[in-house]
Amino acid sequence: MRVLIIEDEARLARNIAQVLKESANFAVDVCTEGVDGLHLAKTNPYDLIVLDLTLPGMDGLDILGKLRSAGKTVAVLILTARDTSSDIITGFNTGGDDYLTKPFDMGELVARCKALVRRAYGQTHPEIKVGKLTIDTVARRVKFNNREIRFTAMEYRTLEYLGMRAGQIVSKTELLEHLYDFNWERFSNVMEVYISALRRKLDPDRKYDLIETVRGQGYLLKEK
Amino acid sequence: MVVAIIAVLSVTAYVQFRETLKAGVDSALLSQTEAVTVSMAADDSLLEARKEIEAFFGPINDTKSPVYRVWFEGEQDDYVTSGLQGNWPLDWDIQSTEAPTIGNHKFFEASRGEIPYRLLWTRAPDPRASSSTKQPLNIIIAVYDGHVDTQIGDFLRALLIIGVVVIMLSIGATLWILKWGMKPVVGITTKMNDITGKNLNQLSSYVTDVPSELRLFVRAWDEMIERLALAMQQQRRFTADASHELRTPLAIVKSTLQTARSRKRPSETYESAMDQSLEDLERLEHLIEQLLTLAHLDDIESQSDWQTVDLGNLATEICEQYLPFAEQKGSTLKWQVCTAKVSGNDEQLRRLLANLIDNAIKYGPKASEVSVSMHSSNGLVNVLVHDKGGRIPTEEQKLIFDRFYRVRKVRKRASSSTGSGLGLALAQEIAQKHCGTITVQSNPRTGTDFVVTLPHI
Repeated sequence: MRVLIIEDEARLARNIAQVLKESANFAVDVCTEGVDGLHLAKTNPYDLIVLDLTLPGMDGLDILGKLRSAGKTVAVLILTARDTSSDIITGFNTGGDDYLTKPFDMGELVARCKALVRRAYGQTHPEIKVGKLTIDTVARRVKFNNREIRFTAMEYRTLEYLGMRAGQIVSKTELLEHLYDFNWERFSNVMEVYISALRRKLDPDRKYDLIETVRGQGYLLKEK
Repeated sequence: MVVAIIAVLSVTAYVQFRETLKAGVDSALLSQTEAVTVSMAADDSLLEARKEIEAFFGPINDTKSPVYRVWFEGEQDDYVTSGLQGNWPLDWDIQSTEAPTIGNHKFFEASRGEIPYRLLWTRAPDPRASSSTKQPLNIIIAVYDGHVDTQIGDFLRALLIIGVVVIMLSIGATLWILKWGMKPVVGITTKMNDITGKNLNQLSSYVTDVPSELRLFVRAWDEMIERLALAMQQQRRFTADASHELRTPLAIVKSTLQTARSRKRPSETYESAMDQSLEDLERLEHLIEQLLTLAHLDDIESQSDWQTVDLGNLATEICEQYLPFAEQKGSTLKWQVCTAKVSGNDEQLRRLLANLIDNAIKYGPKASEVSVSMHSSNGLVNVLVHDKGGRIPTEEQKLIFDRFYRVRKVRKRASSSTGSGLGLALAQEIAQKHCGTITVQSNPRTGTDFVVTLPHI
């Protein structure tokens, strides 16, 4: 899952980014200016945007309005010091999906971000079940055939994304765009390395063809 | 008031009318007497004169007909009489029985039983040419004057009815005119009820078709609303800015501590998180202090804590205090002050000067000169803080005293902010509280001057 934080207080943005990486295992991009923020939001397929309203360059509400006008459906969590109900109503009516006022609790922010992302993929249960595979997105634990399997952060991130989109073919580009922030060097063969690691750890005996490679299109986490 | 005027008019009319009626009766009596005298003088024959007089008065029909008595003094019988028996008017109820002197006449009020009469008693020399005795002639004519009171009564009744009708009509008309005239006012008042702090609409925006008398009122009202709306807007903006400026550092501190605390980390991470938080808390502390000072300035009108302050001493103290800060920036700080006593709050005046000097050093160019100078004239003290700093655009010169103006500007321009945006706002409020002013002049060649003007004592 990839998140964009548009927040002009650099230290606050950095803290949020760190917590979202550590506690939610999200790929996080940070932008401290409005115009650049809008550009990034328009040109990258983010799963969530954490948006401050009082920004240099362009006001957060303008960014939100322009994003929605451009047809972007990305989930947006407004994070601002403006706390009157008219501000909150305006925030939602401009196209916001959630609203949190500063100062806020980091744990709450992470929980809201996770819920928004989950909902964006049509999931409501924090536990994703695909056949014999269970992904607990809160504790970040994976069980297959009732056996708990440990993954690295990147492996887990990949599996969680495939799990969210179980039954759909996910292209390699999509995986790269949703799992890495823009500082990452993107080599497409890195995906193949992770996929094979996932297959090996989940199913060492190759009994189930859990993650299928659809030639020329991408990967498919099979529901049965 | 109206009733009083009508009452006075009624009394005047009554008195006037009564006098006129009385005068009419009196003149009738006089001319009757005249006629009798003339008849007596013209006709020597007793019989002729009697006939003439009787014809003149006509038959005596009722109590309201005039009665008369003509006699010569010293004669037993009346010369001519209307036939009324008795020694009248002496046996009537009469105010006085004193006869007039010869050649004169006298009016009397009298009443026979219940019947009021007006009497004229005339004593004249004997008019008869043929008379040898020459006895004075007495003529008494009495006319019924009850009609005067009856007429006056009628008049009063009519006056009363007319008065009441006029009063009723005028009250009705006044009420109607008031109601009709107040109609636009009532309309406007209903609209005024809709005006609240959140809904500061101008009257003219929803009261169309205002009568000309009320146009000035509506315009004055709208101007007041405009001023209120501006003040409310400033207040709202200030609250929004203040809450943003207070919440942001709080959010940063909280997020820093929560991030550090969210898992086990090396001790250097904790230390750096604590250092950063302390720094943010200092920023917050400074802001809160300034906000409280502003609130204090807003609330307290009293000058009870004012004392005599020597601005020269104060400026010297502050400059000495800021010298290391200037040197740190490679700048020089020079001051040339004189003794200038003003009345005020020492702490606030100190803050005023310190804010200006701090700004000059902070925002002036590095390695340049900041100077503080003073002079007093015409009962005013001017303190001038000068730096070689760049130009503040003319359109911004008024705005820089707005609370949080700098913060808003900095936010727009995405540069890092070190000030709270309240320093100049505070300086201005302090100057104004001390009956003074603060002005700025900025120009790229000479630099920026802030001038504080305060009344001298």
